[in-house]
Amino acid sequence: MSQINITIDGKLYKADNEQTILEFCNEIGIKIPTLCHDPRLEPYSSCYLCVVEIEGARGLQTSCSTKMAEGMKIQTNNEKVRASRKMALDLLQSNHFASCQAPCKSSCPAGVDVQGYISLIEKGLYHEAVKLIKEVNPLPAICGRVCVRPCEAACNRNFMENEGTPVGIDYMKRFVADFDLNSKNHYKPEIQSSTGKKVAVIGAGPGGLSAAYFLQQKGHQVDIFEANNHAGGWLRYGIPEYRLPNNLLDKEIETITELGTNLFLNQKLGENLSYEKLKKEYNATILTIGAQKGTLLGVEGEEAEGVYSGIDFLRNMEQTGQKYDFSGKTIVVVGGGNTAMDCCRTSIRCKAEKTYVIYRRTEKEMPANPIEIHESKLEGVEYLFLTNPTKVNKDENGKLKSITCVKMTLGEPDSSGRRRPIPEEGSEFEVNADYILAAIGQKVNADFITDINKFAENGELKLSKWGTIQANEKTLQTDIPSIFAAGDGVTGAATIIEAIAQAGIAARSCDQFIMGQRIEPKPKEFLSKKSNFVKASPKAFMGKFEYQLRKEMPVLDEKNRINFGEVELGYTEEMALQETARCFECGCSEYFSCDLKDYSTEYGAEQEKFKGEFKARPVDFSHPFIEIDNNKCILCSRCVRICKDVVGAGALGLINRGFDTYVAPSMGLSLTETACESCGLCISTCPTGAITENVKFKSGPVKMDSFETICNYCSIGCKLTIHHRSGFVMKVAGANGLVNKEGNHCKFGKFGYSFYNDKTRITKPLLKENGEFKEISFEKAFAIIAEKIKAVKPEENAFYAGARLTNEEIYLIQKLARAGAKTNNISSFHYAQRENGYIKNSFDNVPFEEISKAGKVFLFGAELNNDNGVVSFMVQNARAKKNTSIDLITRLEDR
Amino acid sequence: MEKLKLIVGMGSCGIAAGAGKVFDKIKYLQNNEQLDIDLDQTSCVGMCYREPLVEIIDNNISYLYGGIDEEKVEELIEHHQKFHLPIKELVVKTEEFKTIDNEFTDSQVKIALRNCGYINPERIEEYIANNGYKAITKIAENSLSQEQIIQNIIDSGLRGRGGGGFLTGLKWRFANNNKNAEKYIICNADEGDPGAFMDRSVLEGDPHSVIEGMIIGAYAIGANDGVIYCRAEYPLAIKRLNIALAQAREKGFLGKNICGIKNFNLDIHVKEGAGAFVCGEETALIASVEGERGMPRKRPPFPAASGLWKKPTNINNVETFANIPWIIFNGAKEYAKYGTEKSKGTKVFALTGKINRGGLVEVPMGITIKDIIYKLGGGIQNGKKFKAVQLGGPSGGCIPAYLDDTIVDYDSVNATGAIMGSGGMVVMDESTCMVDMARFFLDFTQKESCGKCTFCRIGTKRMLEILTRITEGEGKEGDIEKLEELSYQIKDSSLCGLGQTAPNPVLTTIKYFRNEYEAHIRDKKCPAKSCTKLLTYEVISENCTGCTICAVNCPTNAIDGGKKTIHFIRQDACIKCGACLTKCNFDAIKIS
Repeated sequence: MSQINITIDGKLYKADNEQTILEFCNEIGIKIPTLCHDPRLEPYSSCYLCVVEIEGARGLQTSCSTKMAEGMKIQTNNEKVRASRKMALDLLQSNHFASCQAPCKSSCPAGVDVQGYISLIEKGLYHEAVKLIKEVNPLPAICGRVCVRPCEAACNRNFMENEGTPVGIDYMKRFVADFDLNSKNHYKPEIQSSTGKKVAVIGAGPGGLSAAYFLQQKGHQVDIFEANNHAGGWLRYGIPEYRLPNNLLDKEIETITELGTNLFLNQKLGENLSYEKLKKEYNATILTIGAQKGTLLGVEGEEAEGVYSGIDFLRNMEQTGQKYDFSGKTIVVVGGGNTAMDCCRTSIRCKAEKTYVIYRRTEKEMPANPIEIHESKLEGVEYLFLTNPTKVNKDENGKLKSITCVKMTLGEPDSSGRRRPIPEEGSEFEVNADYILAAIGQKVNADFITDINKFAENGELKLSKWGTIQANEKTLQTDIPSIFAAGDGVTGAATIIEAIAQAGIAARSCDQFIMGQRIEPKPKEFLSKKSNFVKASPKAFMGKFEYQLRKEMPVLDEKNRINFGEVELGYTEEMALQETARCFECGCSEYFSCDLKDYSTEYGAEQEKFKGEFKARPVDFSHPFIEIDNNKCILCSRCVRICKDVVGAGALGLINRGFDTYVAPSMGLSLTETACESCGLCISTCPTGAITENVKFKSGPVKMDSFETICNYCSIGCKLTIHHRSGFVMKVAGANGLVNKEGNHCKFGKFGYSFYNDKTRITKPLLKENGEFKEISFEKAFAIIAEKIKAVKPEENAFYAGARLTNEEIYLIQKLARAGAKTNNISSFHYAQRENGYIKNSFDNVPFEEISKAGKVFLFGAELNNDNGVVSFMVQNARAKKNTSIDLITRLEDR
Repeated sequence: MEKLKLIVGMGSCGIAAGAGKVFDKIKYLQNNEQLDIDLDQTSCVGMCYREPLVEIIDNNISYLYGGIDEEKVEELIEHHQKFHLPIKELVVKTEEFKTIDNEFTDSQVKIALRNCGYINPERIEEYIANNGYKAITKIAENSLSQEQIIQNIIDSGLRGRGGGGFLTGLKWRFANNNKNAEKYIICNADEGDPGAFMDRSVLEGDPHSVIEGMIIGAYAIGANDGVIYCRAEYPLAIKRLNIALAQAREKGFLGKNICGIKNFNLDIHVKEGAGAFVCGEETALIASVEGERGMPRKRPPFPAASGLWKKPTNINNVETFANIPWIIFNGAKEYAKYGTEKSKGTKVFALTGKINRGGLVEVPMGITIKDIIYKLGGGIQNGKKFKAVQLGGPSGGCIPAYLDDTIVDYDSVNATGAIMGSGGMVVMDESTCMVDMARFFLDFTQKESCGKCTFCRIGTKRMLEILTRITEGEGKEGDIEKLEELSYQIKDSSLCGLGQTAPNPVLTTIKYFRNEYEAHIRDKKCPAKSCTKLLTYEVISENCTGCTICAVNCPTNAIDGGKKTIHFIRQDACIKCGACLTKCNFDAIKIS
């Protein structure tokens, strides 16, 4: 070893020539990515991510295996190096047939972590589930009832033969949100300390409420101004109560106002509220105004008395509190969306004699939720498909009489992918009607814009050609820097969850703005997708799961629906728990810890740049603890090498050559039939999700809390990190401890943690009386024990220490025995079965690390592997690295 | 009058051409008809295009006959016994008169192949009789030091013949500099390039020259154990090596205190490779010898510092070792007489492809490509036009016809983008599609990649996919650039020679034949009319007689037309198998 001078990225350093470039860069804080290097193993150099450019050297050099030399000039992050790293990632991703994220989460506009919250529901961690949902969606009870559920449309259960129904995602969400809402200590997010900043939100619909929720948490004071006399916007004035009861709505709104957000009702911007005041009193404004204006049919005669826009019809009832009485009347609803469903089903509840829905395409093309269509039919709604109104006929008083329609046929698909309806000539017919409810679209009403522009000083608020508010697509900042906009007002009439998603973006930008930061959208995360390779097929996702029918939602009897009582009754806890089992867990369990994903994000990798053949291989679940998914493997060989060089089992190997190479247990066996120690070090070293823990619960993945502890399975004393969510232990990993400096662990520490989660384990002393156990206090238990010890002569007592106690605990037991009970009868269960022959003649306290320096190792007895795995790894590693010879002295049968 | 002596060329190439049957026939005649003749065998003399070869020594005059089968050999024996004169038209080589094959042999200088085809490789006596083991005895008798030998090899200018081209003497010096009680010497006989058989011929024809070369090398670096890593696909070479090793042990050339040199102990054994091309790379070879999966590792440390079992190790190729005894015996100066300034001596090539005289040749460095192809090789088959030559197999590149003045030496060949390689030389004519040629070699390297490095494992696969697409008419604008981008990255970012050179065939064909790539991609045409998916078969109406033979033979019934009417090929049904073209007797089918 000698000191040398080197230059890294133009800076001079003194280094030690025994070190590799990667080691040295890690020390001085220069980050170099690597996938195939693990400090526990010899350098390997296969991933080619750690490349650096060395002046004078051919090509690029792998820093993990290149030692430094005097005068070396190294570039760790120039353009050439970055391009090479990116291409390495592009190539690896082109054969990474796996999905980072489940389609439910990807398809949710707000990105709700469905797989995560299902996993938490499965564990009974209901408040945690709500907490997770509310990171991006503050209205789970509402969405649990009325969301359009793109997640369920994307669910891979849909593609399953003989099943074809998605996981009841929304039903579970409703269950858990209701559970939380109705509990005494419902979830409340942490509020950061006050920033002293104020934000005005215009409109108390889902977008406005959500924006307030996010910003209030950041420590800003949010005031919402609502034009109506109640909060909720479309949730209250558009969606009928039989789907979303007002008391539920109020309750969920309260979970936002209770954070400190003020709600000012009957305040309409441009009328009784002016931007002049907002500008003065608030640091920023968010416009969440919705799309309030209903559109009529656009045909001759639509001005007739009795023709309404659907949303006006719904809103009027809510605003006045008066239900229409349609007794004996015929109602024609025009349109095929969810508003049309709300109109027709409400008409039935208003006692209409006949209710028609006229739609120009077929049922298949209807944008409305299929369950709504189904329920409406049960309730008596009749459908006229492939029908389009052409004229409204009125009587001499201008009152609606009938509607003339034309039959349609479907032609070629249009830009939306749906087949274009074409009128059939001469097919006109008339339908008599007392009321027509047009549910064919909504528009934004942005009359307040003149008021804003009148008082705005730095910029002008503009509308698009569709009449929506113009804002930056990625940040939702308008041309007036302090004004942000979100929801239907920006997108045109869309869904609740889209409004919530937009509120999240606008709130983030708004926060950055008022905190004086640069406004930047969330960085784009790299996501590997199976759909980049093939169209979804159930086999690719099913894994270890079985066929299981969806738990259907219990509903109000259809005969009992001429009222506005909630139709869907909600899952019971049992139903929700059963439904969790249907989740395929399509997203990768290593989502939060995958190096491949992180580097791919950092270097902007493109999965489809080198699209070509890929390897799809079955996942190996045969081992009880270890799951091998070659689809995710990048062939860094870390698992193979750690198993050979550290564990000494050599249970894994590389099969085939070139592009066909994959990792598999040796000799074509199942891992359980090899010399696998089940220590899980392969899992600990895998840089992606190719070797993971085969857990018996839903692993989420969810972010976990952790703490460190000393393993109490044997006498070594390895440090472990316990990862848990709200007390439910989900993972144990090795930590770099005093003894296990490299963070290694054996099977006991790694996998023997299920007792933590065992709700039946004994945590209090039990006393057997009359053949039955009774829980008693510790004080009482101690008293009984003391009494028993005292009852006999000291030498008649014996103390046995449990085999899994720590040194400190064992010390205390002997203290108790000798000082307390005055006996020297002390032993441990661990040695109970041992014979003579173990003589204590070694030097005390030789540290384990001396093993790596030893010239020869003698092992007395063969149980090292079984009982003290981590020490056996040290011995094996010395053999692999230094060829240290090992003599095993044991009985024949122990070999 | 002496007995007639017959020597049959029994190399793998000869046996494949039928030499075994000829040999058995002579044996049969010897035994059953009491013919009083001597029979012996030798190995490949290099004239593969003339196999099976039988040498007849009649009255101390040697006549080498080519293209001999069981009938012809009987006729030859009869003729010689009767007249003691040759059948002139069958002679390919003799001192007595010139033959048309003289051009093939005249330009050659045989050093590495000095005994191949001349001695019986299974008899150490014959090797010894031809100055064999004289080099090691010279070392022993003159007490030459290790340093003297190393300097000698450096002076000779011999460079690694496996393809690397590193100065052999220098490599030995590195290994010698690393002081360790245990050292190894390895002979790399894992010849794997498609179309290359230089090493096989040497091992089959003159195994002792390699063993003697290793003994000298072992002495020079201080090794006490030797391994010949030979691919299992060379059973005859392995058999002859084992025979030779046993003989060498018996004669004391292997064992303790070899040739009386005190404390010079050495044994050599053969390790059979399991057929992975990458094991020709030295670090992968070492892993394979150790029983590990044959995968390369990062150098440094070079094997000279840490090789087999982590001990200093020197690895040379078969041909390199075969040169060593000659150099020591004849002197470095004698060797350095041949060749150019930086590339001394000779080089063995396996000349194959669309050439008239294909075979094994040993030429002095500095000869032009043109001379090899036209003088030795006798030009292109069927009078077609010479297009390019692929040097260095799948790791090498092509040299186009217009650069045929290029001389064979390391630096000149490298300057073209090709490499000298281990000696594969594939000649291509105008009917070879260069894109398809690049695809062929890349297909090989892609399959042979060990799978360790990302770029080699996935990058070569993606390149192959692009090339396949191009040859199938699915090429896209930007494909050439994508190929180049991948090529440069793979070359820069692979651990071993396999990956670092795999893109060479693609890069050189793009360099010299970019227009062919463009024709495939833009016009969906293959200028060499070789890529079947891009061809159209059409009937030339003027020539068609309406004989119906094409229609009858078309496997997809894609040809319409009755008797005595002009036929027509329906392109949508045509699968481009070419059956019509081969069957037509009137040249009435054209490809475009």
